Amino acid sequence: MVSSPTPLLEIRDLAVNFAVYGGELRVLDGVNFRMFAGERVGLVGETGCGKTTMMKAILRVLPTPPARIPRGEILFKGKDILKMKERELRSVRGTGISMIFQDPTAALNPVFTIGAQMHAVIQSQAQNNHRSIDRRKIWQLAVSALKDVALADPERLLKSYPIQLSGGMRQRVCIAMALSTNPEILIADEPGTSLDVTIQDQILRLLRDLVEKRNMSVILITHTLGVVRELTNRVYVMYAGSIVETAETTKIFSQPLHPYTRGLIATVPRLTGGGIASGIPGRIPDYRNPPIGCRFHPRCPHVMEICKQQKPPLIEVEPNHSVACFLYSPTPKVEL
Amino acid sequence: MQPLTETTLKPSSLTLEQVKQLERISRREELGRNWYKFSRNPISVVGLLVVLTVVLLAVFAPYIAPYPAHAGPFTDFANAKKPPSPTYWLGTDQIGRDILSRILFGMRSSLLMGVVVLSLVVPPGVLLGLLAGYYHNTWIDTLIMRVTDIFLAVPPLILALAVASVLEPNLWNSMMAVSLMWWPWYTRLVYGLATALRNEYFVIAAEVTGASTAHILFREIFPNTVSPILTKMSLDIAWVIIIGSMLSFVGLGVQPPEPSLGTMIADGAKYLPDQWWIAVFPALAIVVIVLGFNLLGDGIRDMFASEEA
Amino acid sequence: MTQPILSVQELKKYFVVGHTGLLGKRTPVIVRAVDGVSFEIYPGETLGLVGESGSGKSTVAYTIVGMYKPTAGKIRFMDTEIGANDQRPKELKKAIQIVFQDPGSSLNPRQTIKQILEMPLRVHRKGGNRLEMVLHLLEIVGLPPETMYKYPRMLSGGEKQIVGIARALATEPSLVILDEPTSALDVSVQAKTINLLLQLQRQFNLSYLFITHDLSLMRNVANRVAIMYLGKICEVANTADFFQKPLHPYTQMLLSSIPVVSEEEEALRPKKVLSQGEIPSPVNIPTGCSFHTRCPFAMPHCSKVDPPFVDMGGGHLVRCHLYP
Repeated sequence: MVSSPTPLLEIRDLAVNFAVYGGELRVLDGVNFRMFAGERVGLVGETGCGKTTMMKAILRVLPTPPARIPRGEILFKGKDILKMKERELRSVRGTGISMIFQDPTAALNPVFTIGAQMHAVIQSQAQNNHRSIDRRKIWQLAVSALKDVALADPERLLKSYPIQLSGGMRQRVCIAMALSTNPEILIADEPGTSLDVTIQDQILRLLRDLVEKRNMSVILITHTLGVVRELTNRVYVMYAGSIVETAETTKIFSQPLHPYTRGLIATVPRLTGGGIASGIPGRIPDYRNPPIGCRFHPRCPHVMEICKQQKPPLIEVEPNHSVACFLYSPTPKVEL
Repeated sequence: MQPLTETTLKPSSLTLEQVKQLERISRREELGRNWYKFSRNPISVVGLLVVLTVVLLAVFAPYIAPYPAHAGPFTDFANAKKPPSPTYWLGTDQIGRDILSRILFGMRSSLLMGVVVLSLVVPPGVLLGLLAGYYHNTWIDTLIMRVTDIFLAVPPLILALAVASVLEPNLWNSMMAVSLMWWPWYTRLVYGLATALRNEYFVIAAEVTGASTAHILFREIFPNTVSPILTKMSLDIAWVIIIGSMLSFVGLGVQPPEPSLGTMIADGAKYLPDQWWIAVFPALAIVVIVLGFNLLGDGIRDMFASEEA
Repeated sequence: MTQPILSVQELKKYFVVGHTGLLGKRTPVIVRAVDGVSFEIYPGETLGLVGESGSGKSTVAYTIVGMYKPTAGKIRFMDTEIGANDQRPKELKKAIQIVFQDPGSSLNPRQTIKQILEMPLRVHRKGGNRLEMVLHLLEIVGLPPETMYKYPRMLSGGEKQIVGIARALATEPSLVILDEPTSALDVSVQAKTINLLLQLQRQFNLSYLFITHDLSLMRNVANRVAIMYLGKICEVANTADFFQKPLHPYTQMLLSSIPVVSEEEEALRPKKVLSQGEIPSPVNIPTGCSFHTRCPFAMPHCSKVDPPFVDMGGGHLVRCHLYP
């Protein structure tokens, strides 16, 4: 612990609840997550596992109420985002962390030109850093940002409206905007998955080139395992509000440990054929009344008695490979 | 060639009694959920209570009113223009009638007008809207919507005044007049919804399966328009009451000696500001009724709006 | 050879999407969504129809199921033939059913599952105990009876899609069109849904027209695959052939674009055909072979002459100037 540098982003035991009819949804249940500068991390999990809630918590955009954060901290370069003042937070959101959304159409305002929207982003970033910037400089920055994402004729593009662009071009514009502030972390939420495969492939290749060139830290949120494999070097697998396994990307695919990770990888249809695995039985639990112990136990083929009583901690079972499952950790001894 | 029939219908594992029970439980849960969504905003509950109170007061006016006879032809000049007192809680009017009693009876005709007008207006308005919306871009659409436009182009109050003055001025005729100008709004509302709903996949599924037009209109499209219709109705009932009062105010609605909130305000206005209670209390009654229905409308909208379980 | 259950011949579907020019000189803007598509489906078979947005694959589906009337061409189902302006008989509406992509919009939010499943029963299976039939349908697709009185919003995406499947089965169809039935679902839910569909196919000898953009999925469910690009089919083959030797450059581009999860799969992806360019607007389809604007192997005459279909043996058809 002495030699390791401060993580760029660290989440410790984060819990988030939502108030609803008939009780409270306990969506996040002790999330632990850590990334270092230059890492490209994939956050994988199915719809409703809490990926989006976690990202909203990081950006502190969860509406409270109905959301409530009973415990946990989110450390960005050692400072707790949850305790930050509005001004500090603005600079984190503006220049520390940028986001690319799944749907590029919804992320762009239809009534302003691309140029006006990029202008606003670049200008507010400059203001956050207490620098003054003139219009000509902003224009130049915008043009070079669009060139970086391989868009032809950036000058003309800056004068057009989102509706005049194709879906792929809009996604590129979104990436250019997110990168124009030189963020320390880029969060990409299902980038390109609303686009066609051939376009998605182009977007992913572009994104990979850009982050490699700039050695940027990336959190990729997705439920498409193939995309994670192409883009990241580390994977966090999330199930029902907590991280169940994390390892290097190649390791996750070659040697998954947690029964959920294994089930998830097995259900991906293969280009090599061989039919489709039967899937994981059951469904994501009701967050109003989640299972006691390991939240995966009602669906787990290897369930043991202890799984129904205690929540397994995330334990490093081999270097850089942690899993939250009693199959791999010695049963906690009862203190006499 | 119909492979599914080859599987014999297995007797279901549930008894009829169990199925019925399931249905009851589900109904109750659905009610509970709706009430939760409605009551999350306490103001809607206030609206509901106000409306319920007003309706009960109006229905039971003959038993509640301290002087039921004052709602008819009655004069008592000795007690005319008395201010509020323990005997006459809200005072008396220019010919000595109890204002509280007259308000209670006045609410009866106001509510009656609202209910009758809406039940005359909503069914045809909705039906025409459904038809025009479902047959979007056909001659049916054009015909219905152009006629609707014509009615919408006539200034509503003037139409009502014209009808009420040509016919004998009374409550029924003024209701007719108001109804005549009100239906196009429902057609418009439902038309807009139906044109969007007809492209939903559940409607397409019914079409390609060969379901009848009646099924598509009333079972597929109509249930999805109920929420906006109900919301509009509860807001409209307030408007109808106001218009009814306006017609009474100018002498084209309920005829004396029968009490109506509009006429009471009109008569009482002559005695402002000294005998203020004659005009102010009926006016307040209108305010309370209208406000109650408006808040109720908001609550109904909330109840249908949030789709989360 | 067995008789095909469905045969589509030179099917065309054009849409007028607007007009250009002023009064008197107005010329309609036409989208050629489907422009001469022919294929057959045999009993008990799954034909995969693959394409990206704007390829016209959904239009093909909607035309077959009767949502649209064909502009030209013929659809022949068993012994019934439907041309451009024919009324669709009721037996055909019973025999051909569809499962839609979006489980959210395909179920009426104001109806209970029971009411949703009763709709096709009312139309096509008059008489009989409807309650029993609804319970039976739920049992066939493996949903608990309590589902009956729930509203769609109370179900998960996968369960909604299964209700959609049950509704399609209610008329006892012989051909079911599956329009991207799992593209909105998670992989583990997709796996369950697909396995259910395959099991139902065996149980009731159903034929499927399976529409998707996911080639990996297609590899595992289809007997034959057809690839569509801008309203035309560019390659048809048996699934095994198709993935072993994809011929059309567009097919190769699609295959090289798929994100995969294992080394073995990576070996199947043609490396040299990297995806480039975007699909042109269907209002302005390129001349000649419509793929020439994105094709890495484009030759001068590709932009002038539309290539004909060539049979490369074993029913492997390809429409490209590179062959034979």
